[in-house]
Amino acid sequence: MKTAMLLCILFMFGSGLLALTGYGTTAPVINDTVDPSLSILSPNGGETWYIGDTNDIIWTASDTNLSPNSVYLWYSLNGGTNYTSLAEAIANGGSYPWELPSPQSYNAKVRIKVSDSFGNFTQIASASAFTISYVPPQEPTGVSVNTANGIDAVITWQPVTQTIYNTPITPDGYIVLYNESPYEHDEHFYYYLWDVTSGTSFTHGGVMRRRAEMFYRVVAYKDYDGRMAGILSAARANPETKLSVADIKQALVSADMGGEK
Amino acid sequence: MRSVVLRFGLIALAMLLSFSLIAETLALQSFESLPDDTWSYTANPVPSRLIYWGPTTEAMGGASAYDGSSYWAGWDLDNVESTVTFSTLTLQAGFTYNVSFYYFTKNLATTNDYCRYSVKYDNGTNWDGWTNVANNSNAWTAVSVDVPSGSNYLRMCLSSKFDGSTKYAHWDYILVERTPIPNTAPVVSNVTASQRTDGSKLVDIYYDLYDANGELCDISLKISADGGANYNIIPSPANLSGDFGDDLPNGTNKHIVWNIGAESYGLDSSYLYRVYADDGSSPIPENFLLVEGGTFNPPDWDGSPTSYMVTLTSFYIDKYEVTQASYQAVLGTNPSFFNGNPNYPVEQVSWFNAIEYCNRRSMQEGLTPCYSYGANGTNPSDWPTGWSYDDANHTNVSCNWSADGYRLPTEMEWMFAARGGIHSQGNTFSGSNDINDVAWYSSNSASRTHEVGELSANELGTYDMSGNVWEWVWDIMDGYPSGNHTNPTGPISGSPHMGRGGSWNFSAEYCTVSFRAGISATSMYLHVGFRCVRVSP
Repeated sequence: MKTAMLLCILFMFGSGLLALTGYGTTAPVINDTVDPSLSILSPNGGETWYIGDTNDIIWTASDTNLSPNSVYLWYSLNGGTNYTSLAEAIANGGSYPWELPSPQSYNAKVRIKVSDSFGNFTQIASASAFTISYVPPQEPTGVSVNTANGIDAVITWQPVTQTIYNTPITPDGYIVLYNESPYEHDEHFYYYLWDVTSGTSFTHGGVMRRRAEMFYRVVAYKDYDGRMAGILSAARANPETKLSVADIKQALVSADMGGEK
Repeated sequence: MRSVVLRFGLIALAMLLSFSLIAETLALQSFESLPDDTWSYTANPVPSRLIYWGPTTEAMGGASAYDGSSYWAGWDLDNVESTVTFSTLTLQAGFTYNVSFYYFTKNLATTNDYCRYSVKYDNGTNWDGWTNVANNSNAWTAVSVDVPSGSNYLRMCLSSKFDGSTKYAHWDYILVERTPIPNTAPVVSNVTASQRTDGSKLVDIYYDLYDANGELCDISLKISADGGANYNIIPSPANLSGDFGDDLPNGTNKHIVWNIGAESYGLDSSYLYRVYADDGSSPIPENFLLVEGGTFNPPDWDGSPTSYMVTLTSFYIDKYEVTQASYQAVLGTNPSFFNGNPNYPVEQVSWFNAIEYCNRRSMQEGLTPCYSYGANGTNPSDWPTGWSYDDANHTNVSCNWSADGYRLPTEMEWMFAARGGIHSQGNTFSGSNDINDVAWYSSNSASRTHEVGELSANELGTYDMSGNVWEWVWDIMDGYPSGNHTNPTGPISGSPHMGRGGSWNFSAEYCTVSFRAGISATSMYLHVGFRCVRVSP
């Protein structure tokens, strides 16, 4: 039995079946196949930022081997179809002050890319669109209605002289809207009256004879790019069509670029 | 008695080892013009008696041959540099080499005269590094030069120059010997690894490999995440390329590329890379792959989760479906419908045919067959006539699960391997979620089988586990049981048997790693073949 076992051992040597294994080992090697984590805090959708104003793009990024000066910023005015470079190879400071450019966009996004030292990168855009808009005039104050003659409603208001950032401004005009119900928060019910005015009063002629009550709203507008004038002109050409503030806004948005006046 | 046996064994072992290490003659030149004088040479000037430069049997200067009756004599060379240049020998790895010779010098001046030699280890033609021998040995004197390890060539030149009728320089018995190097482990050195910085998530691993015995080595790679305590990160073979795998020769600066990004996990720390070299005695059968054991949740036929947890021990599996060539070699026949290429998968084979193939192949290779038929043993030649013609006979076949021969995979072994084993990335098809990457099926097959291994491999390196031909497995068809099971082998009764993987004429939903089909054991379809597994020691 033992002899047989020895012969088996000898056979293994003789036939070369004794497999030998060697190995070599590296020094410690750093590996990083994990992409950096990145999130955009602002603007991440829904914000309205004004042209000429400076807002901070804010993000958080982390990685075990984050590469220095590896943050790239872009912005898009068409929902992410095209991007324009905003900053290249900046430090991961978490924020970047951005003076908003023109033109307007209701479909703006920012995109951020951050890389680590192994070339892994993460690139994300605002979760949804934000708005880049001209700075609007402040809302008119002192709106009052005088029905002393029992026939007409004379609406008057204080002139607007500032934007919402207290910058001096002269509105291009005022739109007076009316409704028979006080739907304060529903712009669809404030119908556009036939005319606009650059003055600070408007007379709704003969309304007292036709309606028991009426509500009015006054909107100051600044026509930065002239398209508001085009919308109003079209409305004048078709006086039977009522036009609301919402309709006006929608017309501007649908025009690809534009903004609330 | 015990001491006698032990002593005998040790002596025998020592003898064997010593025999295996004995030197043998690779080349000899003793100028006897005998067949043993194998190391050819050229002389310059050609042998001449005017100035004596050539072989002789005469006693010149008091010398006679060191070996035999003839030697190379030099006498009164008229200050002409005279050389004997031996042909370049190609050296095999796995040996140490030595070149030796004898010289006899007499009355050479200590200046201007010389008798010298140069030994080179390349296949060039220049000579330098001359070594002068003693100028007046007046007796045959041995010179021995060990060839540096790793040398691929050996060549030598003997040279003499002097003038005067009392001066002599002779040579004899130029011998090259080689001695087998004891079987030593291959050496892997200069291992480096670095991840590329281009975001590709590729790692370049370089190493040098030297096996003193010249054996081809199987190269594998493991990574430690805990400073070397455990090397338990094992890259999927499908994600490795370059100097990796079986039968690699010695060499430097060998290069492996590991696509970590294709693994199911990420790395984000400090690691040690270890390159292993096995000197060719790997137990993995040719064209088989190791499927490391593990636990998994087999999806149901439609891919939905089951309550069935299965643990499998490691096993080997065919990289490829059994080819027509292999089937022909084992059973002497090729029943396939599609022909013209021996590497097409065999088809039109019944489950019984596959069983017979496994046993006969095992017998051909000296392995223990896995299958027995009733009480008729494992040799199909001993099984009753017609054993394979009746579906009902399939339960007469039993399997010795510990035998080292070939057998069909169990259904769970098949699915575990098809999913990529412990490297599974959960693909719908074997190796990809895009069936066109990995499978010949109804939309891309041109209505026929294709040569095995043409499309991409799965995570383990197996091919065609989706599509091409359905593959027989061992199991009888039934629903999956619930609970945990280790190495399940399916029901012991019932019918039919299972086929897996879909085929060239079936649409994608049949070619998933989860779809199951029942096929009666005697059926021989032109879309059904098989592959084999073996136990892993």
